[in-house]
Amino acid sequence: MALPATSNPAHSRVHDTIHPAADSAGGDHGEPERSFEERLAVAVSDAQLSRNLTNFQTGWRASRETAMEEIEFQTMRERMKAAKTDAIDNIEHYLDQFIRQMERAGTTVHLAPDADAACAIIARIAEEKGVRLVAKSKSMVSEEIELNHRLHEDGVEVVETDLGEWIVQLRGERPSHMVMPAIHLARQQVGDIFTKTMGREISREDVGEQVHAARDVLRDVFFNAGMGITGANALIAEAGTVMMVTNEGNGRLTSSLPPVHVILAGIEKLVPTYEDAMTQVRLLARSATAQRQTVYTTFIHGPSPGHEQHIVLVDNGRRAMRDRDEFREALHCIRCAACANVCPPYREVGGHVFGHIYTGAIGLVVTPFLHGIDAVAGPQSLCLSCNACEMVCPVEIPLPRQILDVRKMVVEQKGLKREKAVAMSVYSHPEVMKLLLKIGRHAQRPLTHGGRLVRGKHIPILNKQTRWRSLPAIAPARKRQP
Amino acid sequence: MQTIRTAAAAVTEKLPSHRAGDSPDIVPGASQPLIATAAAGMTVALYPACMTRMFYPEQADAIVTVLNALGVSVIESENQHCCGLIPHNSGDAKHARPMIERTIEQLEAIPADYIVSGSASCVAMMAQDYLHVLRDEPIWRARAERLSHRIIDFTSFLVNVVQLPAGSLTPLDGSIPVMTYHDSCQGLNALGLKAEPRYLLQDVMGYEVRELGEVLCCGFGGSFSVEYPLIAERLMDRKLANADATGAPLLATDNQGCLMHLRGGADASGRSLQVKHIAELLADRVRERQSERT
Repeated sequence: MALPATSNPAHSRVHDTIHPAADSAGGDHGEPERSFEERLAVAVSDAQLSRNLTNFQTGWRASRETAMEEIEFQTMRERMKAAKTDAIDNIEHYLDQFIRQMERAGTTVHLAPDADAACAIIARIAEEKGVRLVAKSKSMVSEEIELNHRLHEDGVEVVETDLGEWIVQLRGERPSHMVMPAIHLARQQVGDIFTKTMGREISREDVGEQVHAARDVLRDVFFNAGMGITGANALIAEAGTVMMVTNEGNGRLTSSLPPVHVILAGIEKLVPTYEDAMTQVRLLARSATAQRQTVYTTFIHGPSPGHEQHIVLVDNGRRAMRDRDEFREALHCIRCAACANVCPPYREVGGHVFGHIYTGAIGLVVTPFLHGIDAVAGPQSLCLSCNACEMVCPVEIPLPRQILDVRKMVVEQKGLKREKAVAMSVYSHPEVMKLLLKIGRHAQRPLTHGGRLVRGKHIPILNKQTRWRSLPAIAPARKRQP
Repeated sequence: MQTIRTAAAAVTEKLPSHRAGDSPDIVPGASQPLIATAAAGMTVALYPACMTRMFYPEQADAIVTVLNALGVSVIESENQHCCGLIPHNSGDAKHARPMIERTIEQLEAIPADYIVSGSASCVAMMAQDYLHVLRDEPIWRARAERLSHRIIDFTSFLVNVVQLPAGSLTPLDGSIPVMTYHDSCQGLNALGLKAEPRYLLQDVMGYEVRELGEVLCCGFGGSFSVEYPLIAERLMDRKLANADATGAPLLATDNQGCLMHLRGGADASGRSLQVKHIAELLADRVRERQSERT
């Protein structure tokens, strides 16, 4: 895909890992999470961030349009939506089918009702096998359950092998994007962290040098790890097969080299048939990185000889989401992150602000179910209701409407901000509004000088709104035509 | 809030102007339409957005002027209030709900073929969001469903119902003025309006429409721009820079929020860019033709 000159090595096409399940639990090793307001203030003052993301979004849009020319997007997404609707509506049936097939292939299946259970299952396997080092390819579910943090507590070292994911892991951050975890960074920032971590000078400008340096470190990890953890892009029920798409090949190494392979997946990743998985392949890379297909598409059906394979199927709020009609369709998500790639506020503040662990529009919808209402209360307020996300979603999730339903939940549980509550209350009374408008018509005169605009660049407080945008004056009461 | 309400009621009772006009007014369409179309003799209701009523009454006049000239009678109701979009968009279901019910009741009572609005946001709210909000209440849902078939945005009405012929409102001096068009998010994404405004501008009115470089929200987003002025400003700057790049002296749109935002931004940054509602452009052409005819 076309990427901006400022991009970092993790953005170059061959190094994107689409695989939606990302991993590096990033940054939260015991450090308290900064508040939404703090994160917002930092992001807004970071002009480089907005430039990086603007270049990225602009390039992505153009490339996506080209990539979509070859397929009938609307037909294809209706087909994908139908498959996911079937899968989610009949989730217990397809889950049973998938598990039976997987077990027949020799995989040990674990069911995790919540994040703690999922972490505990993997920690136990690591303990039983005496694992000290884990190689991990992208898994958003591992971020969701904060697996790295948990394994770290047990003295197990986890190394992210997706380049972007590794970069954010080194920086002690979380991914800011579900597909391109380090999209918020410029190559200079990558050079800085590589130099610091590797203890030798790594170029701030030469992306090739950065990639080589990373490869040298990561190669050893694949061979020395006692466990490889991957995510899943689709769980094919009829076959008991896991589909995983990546661009770097790290997913293949992670799943095949270490003696123990653990697959971590949300139960909503089910699709009924191979054919449905093929539809997903056609839509996923085009929607995610504007590629026709990712470099590697892997189908995993049981462990390779002499190896051990586990799959941990995670609920963690998904069945609760399924039981809410207005949110059920969010479970159709194939984690392409197209919704973030067209989101105007995302472009200005990035995924560390626009979302919680899952970022972008879909992040705002799933976060209350996975991480609680507090985690989404701030981020959801950044949605402009522009509907751009719904237009590009490859499974037609009504994201803008669902975000408003999340907003409603936030207001029900936490109330409106005080000024807003007063404004809404006043606004709901037409007679009060009429009176206020009448007063306003007189009161505004010193500001409008009889004109149609309120110009208040130099008036304290008011100029927060009027420094950059003159406001309309209240018009005279309308005299309708005779 | 009850106190404010009571106080206001006490004051408003003493203001006779606020008691008048409970019954809807009908502005009859021209008996000899300026342009012959299938719409002559039709009656529609005008649903002006809140912002039209408060800030831009001339835009409601513009819609009435155009419709009347086509022989369409327009009903206006004095007591219309917000359709509920403003609280709905803030997650405030408690205040949105009575506004929604009130709007449905008022519009049901108006004997009009269509309810026309110059605000893409209000139309999207009434035609789409109402159905979702009322989804679990069959009777209200059915009423919302009926309303959704009657409510229509101004550009769709002119293109698809009136079927305004190409070339019917070109400038009389034969010029081809240059402009650009901002697709409002609700117009483009929620209502799917893309061809409609362009047909009106290019084919009906003979403008050269220079497209903005990218599809992007202007940054208004209702209370968003009040809550997050820095982000709204950046998105607005980008939109205005894209408009600058077209070299067009005029930008039109179909939504009052975007219009307010972009017009205010153009003014504060000292740009000469004119920002207008598409209805105002149509009304100017209608008036030009009317004055020529008399």
